[in-house]
Amino acid sequence: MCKKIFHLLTFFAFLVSSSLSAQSFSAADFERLLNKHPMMKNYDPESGRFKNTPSQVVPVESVRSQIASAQQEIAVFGRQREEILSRSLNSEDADENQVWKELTRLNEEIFKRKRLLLDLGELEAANGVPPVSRVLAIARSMILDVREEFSDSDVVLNTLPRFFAPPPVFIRNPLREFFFQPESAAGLVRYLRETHRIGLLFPVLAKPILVGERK
Amino acid sequence: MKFGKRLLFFITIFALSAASMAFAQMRIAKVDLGLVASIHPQMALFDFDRMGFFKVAPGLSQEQFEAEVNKLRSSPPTQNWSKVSADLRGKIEAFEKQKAALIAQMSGAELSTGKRVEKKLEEISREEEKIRGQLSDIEYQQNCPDLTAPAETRKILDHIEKELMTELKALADEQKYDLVLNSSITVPINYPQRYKAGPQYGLGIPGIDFSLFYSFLANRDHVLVSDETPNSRNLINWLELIRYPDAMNLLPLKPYPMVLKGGDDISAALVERIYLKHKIDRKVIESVHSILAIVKDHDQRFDTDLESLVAPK
Amino acid sequence: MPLLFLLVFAGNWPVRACSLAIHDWKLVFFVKIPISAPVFPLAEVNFLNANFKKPPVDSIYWLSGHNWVSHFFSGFVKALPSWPSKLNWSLVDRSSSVLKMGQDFLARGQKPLILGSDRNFLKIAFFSDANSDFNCHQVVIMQNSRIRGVYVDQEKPWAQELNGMSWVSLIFFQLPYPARVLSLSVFPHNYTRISLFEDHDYVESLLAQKLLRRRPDLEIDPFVFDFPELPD
Repeated sequence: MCKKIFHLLTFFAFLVSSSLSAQSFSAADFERLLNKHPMMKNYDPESGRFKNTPSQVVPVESVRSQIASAQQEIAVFGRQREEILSRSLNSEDADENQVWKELTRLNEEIFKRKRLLLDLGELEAANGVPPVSRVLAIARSMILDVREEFSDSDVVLNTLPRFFAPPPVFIRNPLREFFFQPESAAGLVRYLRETHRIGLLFPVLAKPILVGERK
Repeated sequence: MKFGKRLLFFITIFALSAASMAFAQMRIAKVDLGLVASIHPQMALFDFDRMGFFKVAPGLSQEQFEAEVNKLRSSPPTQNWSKVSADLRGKIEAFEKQKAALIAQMSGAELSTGKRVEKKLEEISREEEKIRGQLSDIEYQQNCPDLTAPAETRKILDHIEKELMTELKALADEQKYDLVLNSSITVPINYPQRYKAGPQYGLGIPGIDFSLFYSFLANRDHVLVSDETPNSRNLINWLELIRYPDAMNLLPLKPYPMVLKGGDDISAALVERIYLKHKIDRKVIESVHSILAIVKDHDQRFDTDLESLVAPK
Repeated sequence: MPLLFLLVFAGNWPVRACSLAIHDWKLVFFVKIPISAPVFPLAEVNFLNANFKKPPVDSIYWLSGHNWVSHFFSGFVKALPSWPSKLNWSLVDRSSSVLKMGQDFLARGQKPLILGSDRNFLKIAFFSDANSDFNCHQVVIMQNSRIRGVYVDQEKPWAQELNGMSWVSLIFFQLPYPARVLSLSVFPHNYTRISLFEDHDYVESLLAQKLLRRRPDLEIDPFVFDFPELPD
């Protein structure tokens, strides 16, 4: 018994020490990963929408034609409903369960098309451009897909953002002036205020982890 | 006795594990790589106006430097640039003619022909783009004989980057750092111009409704007293509006680096290592160190007015 | 009891649905009781309102296994702010089906609006909110029925079947007396739920004392119920 406890304690002593060095860090270019997502093949940069999805821009003529079609179907189902009901109200031996079953089916078809008409109406009013929320829903699912690829044990850092900026405007390079006259600090200070712009010349600055990244 | 031996063994294991726990803790450093890259000795030769390096040896005095640059500007060209650029312009003209002919083919053509022609046009455009790039480089070299050509400039920048990373890895190994994080700021700082007096004074961004935040703080509705919307809604609406980039630029905040706290700052050590490698005078290194320390102190105290502290008295 | 609140606030029908706190409701108690008729025809009124602008009738025949409870509470239908509640409601015992009744009226040359409610259940559920250390509670009383409606018109007859649902919900903190009530809501009203009563100040004070958890979005979807689905 003592031997077993002893072995267990030894095991835990090693386990604790090893667990502390288990944390690893990695970096990922999140934007590039998103661009590699299969859904990006459907992305249309002109419209800013994803083709073959509910976010796609639809020509207004097509929307109007779908509206007309849905309205026609509603009218047809409505007439069928009236016929069935009229027949059953005028016939004493109508099978009531069957009548209600058929009426329910027709009502559901009408309801589906009325819902479609609401969506199509909004789409027509927006000139065939669906709301932005549709694009955001697709973007959200892409982001979740990409994040699922990250290991749970790593701390994953995103690459640092880099934006275009024009270079700093110096009449003479203050760093050079400083090397000519090291005792004068004002020039170097002026130069240091612009290091965020100067740094943009170097792509490596986007890396969040410079040494020690787990590949 | 047996129990005593086992206890001693366990205590030894525990002590070793405890020691290894101390060793297993990660040593983390940070470097403002943007700053270190900016003050790399070779960057003193960079002309930010024309975006090239002066083709001059480092370490010259001011007079020597200016003399060399003037010599470069007045020396005859090493190549017959006029002939080269004329050749390239000729190629561009030929491309334009080809494109015009192809476009003429497209009108009234069938779909398959149209697609083929479109593909051909794309190929020609790509080639033309390349030639225009070469022409632009030639014109640059003609106009800036004292500076490196664009391809050479890119090589030098690449070399600076590689050198920084090599020296950083060596420094991290020597000082036993497991992880070095990048604490550069990679976005342009945009202090709001509109705070200054003058023609731009008073120009802000329309649509940011101050009454939302004002009402929230006052805990009453200043627009519609009868509105029963909860007051916290005003704060939520305000926060949504103020998050837009244009609005953020008006706030008195500068962007902060990824590493806000912690980690050993080895930027100065990396600068010293690079400067020693480039045989920069010790006096210069000390001067750079003291200025970097002042900059760091200002950053930590969120003080943006650096120049007044180092301006000549 | 909740229906008395309904009567008190019947003249004022707020349309907003807004909640400041987010709850994690855990079911503590649930019972499902078969009843012969709905207690109050809220789902039926909503059903008619949704399907008609206003058919040319002045009375509604409501078929179900009516008892004194449904007779009593149906008298308050007129307090509801929609056109079906303004008509005469005749409560008819379920001796025949909606269609059969329709056939009888048609034979007599009449064109009434007939509603039938069967398969009626009353569900009572008691929830406690884990986000408030189980100090905040919700009582939900829900009615479910199968509703069938027929409009007997020789030229344009109409019929529809629906699984009707209506409920009233009371949310309170620790004890269900007026000063501790957070909200009283009913469903349906124009397909959505509405709050008859909400004590924002009390909720804010509970949020400030961290006795409730604040909801990140202020507006909630009135088409979504603020309690989990009840068992069948």
